[in-house]
Amino acid sequence: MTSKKPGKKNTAKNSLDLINIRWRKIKNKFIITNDFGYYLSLNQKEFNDLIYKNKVSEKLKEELISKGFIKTHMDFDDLFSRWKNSNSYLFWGPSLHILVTTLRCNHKCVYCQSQAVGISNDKTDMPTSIAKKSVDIAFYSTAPVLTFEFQGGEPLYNWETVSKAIKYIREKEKNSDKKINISIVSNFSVMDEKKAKFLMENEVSICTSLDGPEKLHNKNRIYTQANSYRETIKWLKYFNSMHDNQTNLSYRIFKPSALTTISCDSLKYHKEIIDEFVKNDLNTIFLRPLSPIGFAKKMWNKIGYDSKSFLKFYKDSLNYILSLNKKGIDIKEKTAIMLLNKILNAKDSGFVDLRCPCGAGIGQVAYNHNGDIYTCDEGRMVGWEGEDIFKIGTVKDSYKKIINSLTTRTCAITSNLENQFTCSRCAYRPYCGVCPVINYESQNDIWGNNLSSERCKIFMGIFDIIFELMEDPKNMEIFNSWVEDKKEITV
Amino acid sequence: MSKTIEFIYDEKKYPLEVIRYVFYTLSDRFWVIINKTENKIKVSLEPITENSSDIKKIKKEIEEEFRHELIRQKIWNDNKDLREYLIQKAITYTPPAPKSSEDGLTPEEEKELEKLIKEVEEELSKEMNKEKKNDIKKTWEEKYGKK
Repeated sequence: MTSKKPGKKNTAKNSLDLINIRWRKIKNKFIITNDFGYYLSLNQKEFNDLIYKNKVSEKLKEELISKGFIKTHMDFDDLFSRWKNSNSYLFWGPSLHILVTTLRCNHKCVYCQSQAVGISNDKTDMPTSIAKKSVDIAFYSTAPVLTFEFQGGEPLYNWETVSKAIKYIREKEKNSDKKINISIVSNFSVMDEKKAKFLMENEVSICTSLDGPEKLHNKNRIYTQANSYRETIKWLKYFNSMHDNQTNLSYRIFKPSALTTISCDSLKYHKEIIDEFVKNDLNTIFLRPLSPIGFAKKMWNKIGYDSKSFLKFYKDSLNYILSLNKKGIDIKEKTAIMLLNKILNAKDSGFVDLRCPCGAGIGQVAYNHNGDIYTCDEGRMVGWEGEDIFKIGTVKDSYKKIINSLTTRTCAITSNLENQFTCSRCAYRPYCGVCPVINYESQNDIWGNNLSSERCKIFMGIFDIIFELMEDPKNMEIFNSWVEDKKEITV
Repeated sequence: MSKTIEFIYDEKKYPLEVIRYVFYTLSDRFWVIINKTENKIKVSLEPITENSSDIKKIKKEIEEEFRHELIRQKIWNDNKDLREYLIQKAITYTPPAPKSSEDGLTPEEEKELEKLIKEVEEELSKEMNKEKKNDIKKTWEEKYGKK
């Protein structure tokens, strides 16, 4: 606050009453945010004037007021509804229910997290009775929307359980007022027309993995019995064509989607990977960094990379995607969509890893093939490695017991950003989240230390890249189009 | 570099909480030991690895961090109660339903109804005027009958 000079009116004194704000410097700009998720980008002078002199231009003052930064001028209806909207997940139980129907898989992906076993090992197939009990528990959730995700291994190897569980879910849906989404993550290697028809008729969304062009995809996703890339493309084309040509059907056929896992071999090929998606009529790409969990943790020296390398890749990729958008090509990046939804629309995109507290047990639940229940799929993987610390119960337990388990509560406490030393002060606090499982896997501590966390560096870097790109009105126009009236994305 | 670096602060000028936050930001590179004596706080930094940055650079980083943390702490303390109140209110917030009249009409419906009533009244008024004009021509007897 400036001292009052004799004979002059001190305009700075008490001219602003700031609420609690957080800030971060990105190059020559400061991003300031508040608890309601509003942000402003200030230059150095504006920031200094605001923070140290408590005096800003009338124009900036108006902006600060309109975004709830000044406590004497707050639009409570706007601020409270914005807060409630972005934290809507706090008001109901887990919405994402992952069923690991088998660990059998015919691929040996270099980064596999799921502890897959050989195709002859049917001991890891989930019996139908366990799948049904898992579904029963899920329906106890207070969430108005439930998403069932069938995973593996390769879930199609346990088709009997998968198909019966899907039928059971659709049956239960009839007597429930919940909205139900079902998805399956498959490498398509054992897909056939009969299975495809059943999945489409039951409105199951299809998700696969596509790591880029043939050479890169097959290097990451090793499949000795056939060509993984060609199988993937063949079925992507099939589902795309079925989606595009659906008419007069009593059910909806969803557009297929594909996940991309970035290995160290992928880092050189951002253009080629994105072009591959465009070529195959996929309009969304999800550039996911590797997680040091499971097999990937053991192979980290060969396939891993640091946050700096990933961020360079991500920045180049996003710039390339924006350049394609400017040419009229429809392609979006999913991480950016999720973060932009939070920043621009105060909307939770359903990405349970970036919540406060994180979704472990309260936003998602993973049901293992043997009936054990975990906070999340990552927690299940840690269990498979021999440390069952993220197990929250079994299918024999009640929903109440699972949700109230000590592990669920511990994860909620440790991932509450108010309890995290650096996060509580971070400008990205309203949009971000920590993962106790990754903290435990990478730092042997569920609290973690974000200063040395590669995950934190990656998300911090992605936020920086997005906020920097948002400075350009042309980019902003594209970003806005990505998040306008879009349906909720469930990951 | 394997030497321990020491800093001594006056607690009146630099509260313990601020010191803790400032030095936490170095905890990925240094073991930080904070000792409190009467009105003085001694901070010892011991590098975790050999190749930590030079003292000049670290001192500058600490100064910058203090500058931000002191102001952050002030804003935080000024708003602690208000923040708790606002979040509490936000948690229990229910968006106001669109205002409706006693008949259960929304403001838009009320406006539309008023417009219709006005139109009907205008029509009636026109009719009445016509009738009134005709009335003038009538005699007393025609209007009210004979006494």
